[in-house]
Amino acid sequence: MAKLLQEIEWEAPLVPIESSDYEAQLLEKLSPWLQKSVQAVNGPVVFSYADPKLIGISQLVTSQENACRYCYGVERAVMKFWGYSEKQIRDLEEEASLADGITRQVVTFARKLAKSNPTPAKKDWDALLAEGLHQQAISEIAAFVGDSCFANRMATFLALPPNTTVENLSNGFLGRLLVSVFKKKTLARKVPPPVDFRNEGPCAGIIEVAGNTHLAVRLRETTDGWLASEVIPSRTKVLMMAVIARQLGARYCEEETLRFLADEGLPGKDVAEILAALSSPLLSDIEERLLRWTRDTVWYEPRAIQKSTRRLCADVGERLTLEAIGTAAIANTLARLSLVRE
Amino acid sequence: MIAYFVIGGAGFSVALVLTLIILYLRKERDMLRRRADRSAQELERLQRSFSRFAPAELVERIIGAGTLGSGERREVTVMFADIRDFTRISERQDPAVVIEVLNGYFSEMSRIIRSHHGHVTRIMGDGIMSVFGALAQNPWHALDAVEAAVDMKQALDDYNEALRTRGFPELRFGIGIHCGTVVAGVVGSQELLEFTVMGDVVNVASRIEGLTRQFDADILITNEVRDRIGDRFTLMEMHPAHLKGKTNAITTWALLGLAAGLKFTNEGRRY
Repeated sequence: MAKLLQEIEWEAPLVPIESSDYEAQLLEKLSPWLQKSVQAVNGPVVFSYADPKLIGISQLVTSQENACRYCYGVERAVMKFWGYSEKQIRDLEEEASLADGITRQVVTFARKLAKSNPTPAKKDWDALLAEGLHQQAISEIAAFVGDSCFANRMATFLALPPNTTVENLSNGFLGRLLVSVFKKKTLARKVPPPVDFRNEGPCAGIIEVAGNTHLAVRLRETTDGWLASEVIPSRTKVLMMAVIARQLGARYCEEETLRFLADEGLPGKDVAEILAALSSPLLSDIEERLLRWTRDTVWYEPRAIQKSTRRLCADVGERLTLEAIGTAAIANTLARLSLVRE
Repeated sequence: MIAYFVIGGAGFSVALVLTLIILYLRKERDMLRRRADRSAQELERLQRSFSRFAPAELVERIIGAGTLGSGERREVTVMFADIRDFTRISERQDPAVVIEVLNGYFSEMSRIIRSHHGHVTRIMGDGIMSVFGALAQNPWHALDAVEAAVDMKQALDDYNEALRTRGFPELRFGIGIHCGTVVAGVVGSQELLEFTVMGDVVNVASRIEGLTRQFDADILITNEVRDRIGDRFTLMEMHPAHLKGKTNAITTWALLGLAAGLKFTNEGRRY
């Protein structure tokens, strides 16, 4: 069973900043694509098909599954703003006496997709259909699980200090009342599906899993921004993604990286050699260091990966580490979504 | 008037009965809640106790499946590590010191094995059997096992330094590593359970460990392992050897260390 909030062990923040507005200061250190993505993740849930409470539930259990102290605390607060009691939240966390079949199936699907060990199967998707969920609603929930995986990795690898302001607000009656009054604006906003969304470019087949949703649009923008960023060379970033795909057994995603790397001038046999031993004369010192760190971003204990990220930062510097964190976060999201496609 | 009292009396009786039913149901509900809380606490306690005997991933998997789980075929690397002549050493030492030394050794070796994505499946006397890639998909199980062996050798050297200052004889071990497909699962009875792997791979790994004495090598790996670790290590080919139960002789390789120019391990440590 995944850990509960109070059981998660957490390190001190990766980037030491002496400021009352830690998150804003940290954001300034990120490259533009990552700044934009993190700001979007922190905004209200913009949805078109799925019940926002089911989205909230999927985000809660994903954060719990990834043992992200920061996001898990925030998602618990959001559930309280939605009117869920502590007892109802504990039931979701412990999968005890879940009220209805649809909640149970969403919890199962989200946990499996977040963990991907074992990977979600077609029967998990079919079980959601059998509960009456529309294909587009399931795609939207899958996309939100992927989005949470991105946020969880960013917050965990950076060891963001828990957001006690939001957590405390959700624990007081007045705070819950205030947010409940304005919750439509602060928590979730239903909007019509995107019009003329063009999902073209690398990883289009994976982003397709997110359907015609606003999250798919954001995923497209994040992927393009990530690949266009020059902080880490493209071939290194895609090799990092290939490592994640190999670890997860995500064949479709790995093939996608092979195609991209071939275009970058790295033939399949060289990639095979690199992926077999995570080492090769073809790799620079920094590339090898990044690949070896990346494999541990798939499944981890928070404190272990936080310590490992701190060592990475000491070896390659803050700028590269922050970009590597963003790379691991988006690559883990894409690789997991590719498993749904498979 | 009489009818009024009769109806009023009946109404009172109904209200009384309903109140009693509600009170009874509330009591039952509270009792059920207390039982559920106790069960949750008990489950948590069992989970914590069990996690001392089995890897957390395994406990999670068993709880998730609701059963002990069925066996599954997996491609893994199996490592046997055995302290040489420990029985002879222990006969000349204070038993309390022997246990303390052994526990210190196991503790350090287990930590290293875990840090390389492996887990200890069995401790037999002074021997450790560990498996890489059994609980979660791990395409680098052979590499992890070999790197763990290199770190274990370094850790044993460090441990020997500490033992020397206490006048305890130096320890030396032999490690045998082999990989292939096994059946992995939980076996045993209600009284004793263990997660283990079964198959020819296990027997071969154990016998390769036995060969370390014959070849006077600390770490021996098979061709199958060598094919999966790239050029990261300096290896020396040994003479083909016949293993019990095997028709053909098996070629093994002595692991001498990391190849020159290598940069990092999983922990990011530089060599």
